[in-house]
Amino acid sequence: MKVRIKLISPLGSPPPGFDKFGIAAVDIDCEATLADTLARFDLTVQEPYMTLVNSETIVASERDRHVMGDGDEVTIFPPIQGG
Amino acid sequence: MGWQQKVLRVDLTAGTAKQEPLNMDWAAKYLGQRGLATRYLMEEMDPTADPLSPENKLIFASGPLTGTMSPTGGRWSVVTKGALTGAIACSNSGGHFGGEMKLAGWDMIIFEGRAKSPVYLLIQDDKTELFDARKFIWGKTVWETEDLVKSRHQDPLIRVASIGQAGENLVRFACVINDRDRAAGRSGVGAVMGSKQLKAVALRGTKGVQPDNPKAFIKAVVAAQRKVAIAANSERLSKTGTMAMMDVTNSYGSLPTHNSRDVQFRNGDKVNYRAMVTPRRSDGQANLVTNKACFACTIGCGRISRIDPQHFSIQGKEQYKSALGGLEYESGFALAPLVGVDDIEAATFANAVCNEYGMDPISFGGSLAAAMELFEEGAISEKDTGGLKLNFGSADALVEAVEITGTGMGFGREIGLGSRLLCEKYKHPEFSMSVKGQEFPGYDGRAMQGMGLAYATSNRGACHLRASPFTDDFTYVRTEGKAKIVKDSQDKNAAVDSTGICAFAHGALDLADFAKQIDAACQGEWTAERLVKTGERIWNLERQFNLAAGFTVADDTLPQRILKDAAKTGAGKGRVSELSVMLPEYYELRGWDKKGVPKEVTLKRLDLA
Repeated sequence: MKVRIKLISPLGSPPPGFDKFGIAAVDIDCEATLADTLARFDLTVQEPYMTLVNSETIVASERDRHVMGDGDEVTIFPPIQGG
Repeated sequence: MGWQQKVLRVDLTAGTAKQEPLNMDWAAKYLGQRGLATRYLMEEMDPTADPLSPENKLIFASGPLTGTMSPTGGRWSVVTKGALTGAIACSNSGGHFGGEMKLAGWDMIIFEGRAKSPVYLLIQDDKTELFDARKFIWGKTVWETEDLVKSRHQDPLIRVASIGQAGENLVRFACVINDRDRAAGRSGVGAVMGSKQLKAVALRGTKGVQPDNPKAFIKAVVAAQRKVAIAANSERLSKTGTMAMMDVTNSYGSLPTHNSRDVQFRNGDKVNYRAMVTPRRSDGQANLVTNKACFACTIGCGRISRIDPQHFSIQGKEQYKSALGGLEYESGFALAPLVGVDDIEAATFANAVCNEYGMDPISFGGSLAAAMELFEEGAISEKDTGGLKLNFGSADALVEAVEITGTGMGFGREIGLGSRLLCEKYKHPEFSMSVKGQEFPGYDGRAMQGMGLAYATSNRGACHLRASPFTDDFTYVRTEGKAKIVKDSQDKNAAVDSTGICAFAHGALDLADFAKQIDAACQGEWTAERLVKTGERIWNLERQFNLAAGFTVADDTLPQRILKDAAKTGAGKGRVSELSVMLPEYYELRGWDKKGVPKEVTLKRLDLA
């Protein structure tokens, strides 16, 4: 399955696997979870982050139970506030 | 003392300016800026007065940390009864004007009455003088005004806060602009200034601010500076400004689009941060040039852009061809998705015109979006608009509309009424996406239930800065717990807005960090707990002003679209705002009765009885 990942406003340069704008497209196994998908990347330098799959928030405790679907779009974003 | 303990009172009717001591009892209870100026306003004016009458007062106010080395300590506020809302208005600005006011030795400037003819005020430390603005800067743009005043008084370091033609023409969402592109933006404070025939305030200060305990102050400030310097939020704001939010709200489904008929914008990738930094095909340059910081700020969230020189909006208009203030999230959302426009250069141009003529881009965008809906629904036609085709998505319409609104030409005068009066005039009040007459910022209250409650209860009308339910709202589409999050953050933000420090430092500093700096700068035992109580006191004082002005529980609401029309997509798909569930809990937490009136016990607890 193919999924697209958007890393919003990363600290420093985006980690390997992302382009300079923080976009990545990856192939994942069927029945892979969101946690499996995120594990493909080194996100350790990032702050605690929040995740959307399409428009649905997947809280941290649910990431290893949320099964991905083909064509899903993952948005990874920090706890930013508006201004 | 962090305070200079001096107020300048300017009677525009009499043409006089007098010094008076700051009320230090009030300073101890309301700090400065938003809180202290509201205390003065409540004491000195009838809240039922017409906001555009001489009976309204206009207060420029600094905080105890404004003008100090405290990180981001350059904030100042304009407090008055808002021309857009008729409610208490406090618009907070950055730049260098606030710091300069403090360095000139003034905590506050209170303007009262109305000048017989247009004037501007020049302050050079203790020396103050009103000058005739006729045949000089009246009728000029904000940018021209700033240049002319500096030139006439032969001092390039003078700081200027002024209104453009929008304020002179009483556009209901006119703002006060300082340092070319920093705005006391919301609620129509610029229209109040225009109604007083006060064109500009020019300042030059050469004094310092003397903290009460310099050694403790420097220790507290250095610790705070270090926190701000290493905070992830600071790095992000420096790099992307606030525009990173566009992708978040668009992905989540809380991006007000097409006058809030939609919550996601199909062409969001054309008007987001990535679009700002991607080199253009036309000239190989990116829209974003660099960032910009305000007084004492080490973050630098401000955006400096250059519009594509080949873009249709700036042909023959030299003033837009150099670097100028760029899009931030709020202006970006309002001048692009909200009106359906996917042309980032047109949105940047519209933002520049808002700065040049002195208009709030959020309310301009909201009013134009309402006009577009009126047009597309047939409530108005080209006959009404003077031939302007106000279709969603039209960059041509955006570019022309912003110019005629700023200059008060043709249908621009109608847009300048603000969405509420505009939609009432054309018999479709339901098209106005506003609370208490003030247009929505860039968050939809269906996916973001907490923000919906924050809009409904904001004392100055719909506002994204009065409360901070972002993290919970981006995690849970639910009503549970929102009332407490909104209430608590409203109190904290009211305190921060009264210190002289920027809300963006709040991302790195907790209230204890604020308290240590204030405690060292000012006499008195300042703690985080005292700041929270001060914020709650300010919130209730603002509420008292609004109740006295005639607002009721019926005004703590949202447009029917948000309450009855379910979101079509996104996290809130199928949901409406459940305000009726959250509001009673909010009143209870506030210690207000069912009509939203603070109970006697609440007022006594806050020393407001």
